[in-house]
Amino acid sequence: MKSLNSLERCMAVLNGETPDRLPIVPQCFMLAVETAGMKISDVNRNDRKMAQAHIISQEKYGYDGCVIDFDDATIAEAVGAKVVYREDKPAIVDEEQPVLKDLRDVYDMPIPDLASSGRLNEWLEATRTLSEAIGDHVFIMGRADQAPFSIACLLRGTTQFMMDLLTEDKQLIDDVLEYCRKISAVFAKAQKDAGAHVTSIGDTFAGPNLISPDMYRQYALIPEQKLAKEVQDYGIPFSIHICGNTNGIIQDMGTTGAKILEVDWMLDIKEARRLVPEDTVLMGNIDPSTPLVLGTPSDVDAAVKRLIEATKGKRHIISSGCAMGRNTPPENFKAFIEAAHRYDSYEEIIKLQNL
Amino acid sequence: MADLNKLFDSIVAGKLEPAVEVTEQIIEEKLDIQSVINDYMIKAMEEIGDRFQNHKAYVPELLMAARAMKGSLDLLKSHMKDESIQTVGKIVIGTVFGDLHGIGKNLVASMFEGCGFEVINLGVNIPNSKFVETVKQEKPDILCLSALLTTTMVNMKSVIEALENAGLRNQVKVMVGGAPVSETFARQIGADGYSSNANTAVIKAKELLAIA
Repeated sequence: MKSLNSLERCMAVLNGETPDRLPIVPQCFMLAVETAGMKISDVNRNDRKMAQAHIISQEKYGYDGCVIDFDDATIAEAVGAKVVYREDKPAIVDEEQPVLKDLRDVYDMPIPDLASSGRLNEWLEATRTLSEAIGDHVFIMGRADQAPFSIACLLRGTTQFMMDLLTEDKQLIDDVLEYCRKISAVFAKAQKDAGAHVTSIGDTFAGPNLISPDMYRQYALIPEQKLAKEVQDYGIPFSIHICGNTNGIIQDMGTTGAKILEVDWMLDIKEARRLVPEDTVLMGNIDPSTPLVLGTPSDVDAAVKRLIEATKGKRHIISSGCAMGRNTPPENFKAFIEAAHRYDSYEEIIKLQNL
Repeated sequence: MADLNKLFDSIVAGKLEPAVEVTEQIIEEKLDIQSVINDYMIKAMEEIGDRFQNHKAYVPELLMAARAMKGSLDLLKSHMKDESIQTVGKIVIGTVFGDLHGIGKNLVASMFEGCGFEVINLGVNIPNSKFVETVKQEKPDILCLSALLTTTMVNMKSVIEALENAGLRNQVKVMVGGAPVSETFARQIGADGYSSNANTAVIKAKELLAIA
């Protein structure tokens, strides 16, 4: 098998071909910033520095793709949410001061402007700079922040929105979600124009750690499906990230049509491979806490080996289940990348698949 | 006559209005408030906690139940002039320094409250010194620490060290929880207990206080 570059390797997986080895695309923006000797506060309003951090980190560790992410607060901020900035942690929405004091306020909410609302432009410029610098050979996932259900939580305050789900009119909640879907689509499609190879949204608030699978199907799934279709029809593969325990909804997530599903460590990925469509790529799912922060390099190595045996390398991008902490020991990060390279060669994958 | 089973059902179903209705009748009929709390209201919270743990109820349902519970409890408290409601233990809870996540921690706090504990909820982003000071002043049975990030979970260890330095460690049990936290990590940092969800937190706390 001829050797591929990182971008070709990722695209091979998306296209359903067996690559020379499985790609590894860690969710490591915080670690990339740390590796570049910067702090989150240096980069989260500075797209050039953010791109620079990814370039330095990718070159140092040699993984196959960069996930551009700043925080979970950007879309909400772009439509008026108050955001708390901190020196060494991602910005966060101040849910004590919600934008939607009443769900009905949604009818007066703005559609954000890509050039001037909040930091949307900084995210897109980071994608553009990174794509121009290394996008010819490295896979660039330009995240588009949060998914509709999660945006609704951030605009209304999660605790309140959770109770609204049981007390408010379904139509009103659907109207809120439809607004959130619209603003999400604007940003996700812009990631294509900025040069990303794939875009992605996070919908952790819709996972079974918070709401029931029934409620996920009732509220979060349809906006995800519509969004996936709109964005992929625009010409860029779409990915959905839900962390936590998604065993109860993984089959539904497979019906969104999203090309990639980013899954966390609590998911039984072997079973998931059986439950989602064959052409859906699973990206994950090493636990960012243990082994990546708290374990040893050999723990990391063993976890990666088990992971590859579970998916047999079928439509699989190796990754962490969720964002890696900036306190991940460099030797563990190195072991993560090396383990992926050790166990996932073309020959190994073919062997696993023929067992 | 006050329908006490309806009170139980209303709390489990998260329905505030009927819960308050029954509570008003309880007050009017001068029933023994403490036994209503123990035999119906706490039992209802234990039921919803159990459903939560077994994935038959989720965060929205738990929040609504806690709201119904609190509505009834506040009403009862305002009618108990001199006598205070018995508590099974006193808990101080907070999210450690640097971490602004409060949803999970608040759920745990309301489960404790609903299950008969006195709870002092310090909030999020709490400095070590604040935990130490509160333990010194309030003398809780248990200190509960929450963190959602791998970068802040390490602060749990420094809270425990700060308690040791202040000579308070043997006066209070320490429980830890939050997404990145595990049983092994809890043991490593010298915590007394770990729980992965709001219901087992209550069970663990009762176990630590030997009131299970």
